[in-house]
Amino acid sequence: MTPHRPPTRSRPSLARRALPALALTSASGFLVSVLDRPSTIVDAGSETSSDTGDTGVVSITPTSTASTAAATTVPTQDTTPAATAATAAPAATAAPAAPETVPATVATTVPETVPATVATTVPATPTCTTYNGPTVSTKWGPVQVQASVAVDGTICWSDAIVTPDSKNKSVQINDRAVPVLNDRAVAAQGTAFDGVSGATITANAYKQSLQAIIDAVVSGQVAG
Amino acid sequence: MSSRLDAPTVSPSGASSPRGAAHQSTATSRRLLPPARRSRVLDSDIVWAIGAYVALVVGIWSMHGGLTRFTEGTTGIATAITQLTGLGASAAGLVGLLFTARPAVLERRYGLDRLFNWHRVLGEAMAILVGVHVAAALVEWQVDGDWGAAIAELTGREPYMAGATIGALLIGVVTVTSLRSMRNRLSYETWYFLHLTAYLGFALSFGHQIVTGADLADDAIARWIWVGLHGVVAVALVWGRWGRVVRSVVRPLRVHSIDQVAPGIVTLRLTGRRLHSMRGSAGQFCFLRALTADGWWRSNPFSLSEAPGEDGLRFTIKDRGDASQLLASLPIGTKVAVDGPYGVCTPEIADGRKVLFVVGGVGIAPARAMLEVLPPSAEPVVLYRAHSAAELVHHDELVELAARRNGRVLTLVGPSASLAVRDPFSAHTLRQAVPDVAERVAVLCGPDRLLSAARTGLRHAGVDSGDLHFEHSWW
Ligand SMILES: Cc1cc2nc3c(=O)[nH]c(=O)nc-3n(C[C@H](O)[C@H](O)[C@H](O)COP(=O)(O)OP(=O)(O)OC[C@H]3O[C@@H](n4cnc5c(N)ncnc54)[C@H](O)[C@@H]3O)c2cc1C
Ligand code: HEM
Repeated sequence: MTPHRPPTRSRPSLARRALPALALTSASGFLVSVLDRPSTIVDAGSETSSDTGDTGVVSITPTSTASTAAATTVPTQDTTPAATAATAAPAATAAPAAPETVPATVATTVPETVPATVATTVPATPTCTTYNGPTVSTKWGPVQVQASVAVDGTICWSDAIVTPDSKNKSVQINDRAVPVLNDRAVAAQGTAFDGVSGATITANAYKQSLQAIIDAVVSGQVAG
Repeated sequence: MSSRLDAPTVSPSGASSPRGAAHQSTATSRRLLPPARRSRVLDSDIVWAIGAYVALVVGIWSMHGGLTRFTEGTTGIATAITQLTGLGASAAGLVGLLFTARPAVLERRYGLDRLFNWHRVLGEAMAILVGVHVAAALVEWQVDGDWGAAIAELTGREPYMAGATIGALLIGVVTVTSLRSMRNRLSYETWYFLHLTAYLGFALSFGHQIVTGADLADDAIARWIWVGLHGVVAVALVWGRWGRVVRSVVRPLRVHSIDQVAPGIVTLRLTGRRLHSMRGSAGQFCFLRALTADGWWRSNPFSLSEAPGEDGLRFTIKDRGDASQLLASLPIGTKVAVDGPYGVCTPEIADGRKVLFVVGGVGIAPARAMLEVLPPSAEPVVLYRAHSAAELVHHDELVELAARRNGRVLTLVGPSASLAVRDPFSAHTLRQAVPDVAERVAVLCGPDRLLSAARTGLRHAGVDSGDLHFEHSWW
């Protein structure tokens, strides 16, 4: 009644019928393997902020970006537990020297000693006032920036005082990302800086909160 | 030669009757299979289950701040939508998958055809939800109009997101190829194999639900509920879908005989020891899979054309294409895997009332089987539509079976244009041919066009829509 196929009555092979599905399946497999490159820097952050106690384990990860010295120490950690502490220590100190993880020291000192850092990092403006930005909620939790900004909008320093902490992964990511963001905000003197790979959501919220402070200061909505 | 609808055909078994109707098994001495089990599920149970399920999904979402996010600006709204549609897509897809596992409690009550149609509705809903989910996620992740970065982030930089992306694409492909206009261009098997990639799509997207989604990644209880639901559906599929295939292949029936009953139409009789442990009712259908080099990879549905008995299952098969041709030409003794029987259009629907069958072409098969077991109180009337007298299969059997139950067979033969009545299924014609039509339970079987014409006519003739029984087309 309803002709639905050309009258060519060649033996319908399984292969012919299954071909589109097989092609689709292989294409999917290929695409997944090409696309899947989750950011691997995640562990570096936790490494810089943790103490020597467990760095023996963690420090294995950043060796590729850190230094060759650390890389060579890795195998020995596996074999002799006694040697772990000894070899891990250099590895841990080597890591912060890596270009990616700049602010290990800066990050801890800046928010505490406001005037000092203002003097050293921002040469021009002496009078910075500290503001709390709005809390921006994200998928992972709230982000709030506290920044010290001069009347002309110059950013003296900036830091996230609230970051998502409901989950280990968030804490881990933010420990790494926030110092970088703090640094980049000051360097860019605004919010036109690159986010941190793997922490896009935090970065976006950070920028939003910071931008709100800048806008408020520049438009004179808040008293200096 | 066309007989008028309003004139009962008292067929002298001769000229118009089909040749070689070999198995005149209308005798009542056959040992029939025990009838298919009834399901004790009630509609109200389903309503409760749906309610609880929806409450669970929305509950998981709002417990993790879904509602309050709506007050938190564009990103908050986008986040809330991403999460709700993600959970919803997964939840709808899971139930849709459950239906393809053909759970007996549901199948025995609603029929496979309706399960498959619900599957379609849920599948389409899932695809729409996935679309919204992806769009909202992009809005949520983009910064200052930098869509490129958001896409890069979502398609690979976050763990498991590459899988999720490809999974969503596969679900899109599965849905698009399932749209009626696309399906008509593919052969059943090509469509089916493409459809199987839905399993892959589901599996690929599972990882990101558990690891990336805030609702499930952070809340151990919600996560285990979700994993548990997937586990239940996976077990149901392994047991109900693929287990059935395995069981039917491990214990196949064999071809006992094949007889031509009309040009291009044969009866296929299968026998085997497995019949002693099977259940089944007249009016049901089975999926047949010929275990031969060119048949093992496909199974096609065919109705029982005789009440199923321990002496065998009979099917009446019309040559429509490769699979039906193959089945019609199997050597005697060939193994055939039988999956089923399925379907809820069985003699019990008569429930002591009179019955009217409206059938077209080879759709006579289930009517023929049901006639055999209906009680005399059914006084069955069969309206039998066919394109030519030669295609009136099982005509003599029908007449004999109907007559013994104070019923009759009305035939309507010839191309539509040449019929004596313009619209054979108008309420008027139906009332004339079957004066007590409004009191009857109607069973319809045949091509879609016939079904819809007959449904309209019967409704206008006063048949309650609850008394109309037919297999919904699912493919
Ligand atoms: C519940 C039910 C009961 C049926 N009972 C009978 C019967 O008693 N006798 C009979 O001759 N036919 C019956 N059919 C139709 C029969 O299943 C198809 O004719 C057969 O599958 C055709 O396959 P093919 O490869 O020979 O033809 P194709 O050329 O592949 O297809 C012909 C038509 O059958 C449809 N079809 C093919 N495979 C399937 C499938 N696996 N599931 C659903 N539709 C399919 C196609 O969409 C197409 O419209 C029944 C169908 C259903 C759904
Ligand atoms: C949108 C319209 C859809 C239609 C019309 C449709 C139709 C069908 C039908 C008729 C079957 C039964 C096949 C058979 O057993 O013979 C089926 C099975 C199935 N469908 Fe769909 N489907 C749709 C969408 C989806 C979606 C979106 C998914 C999931 C991503 C999906 C996943 C499946 C799976 C896994 C099976 C079981 C396959 C098997 O093992 O036999 N379907 N579908």
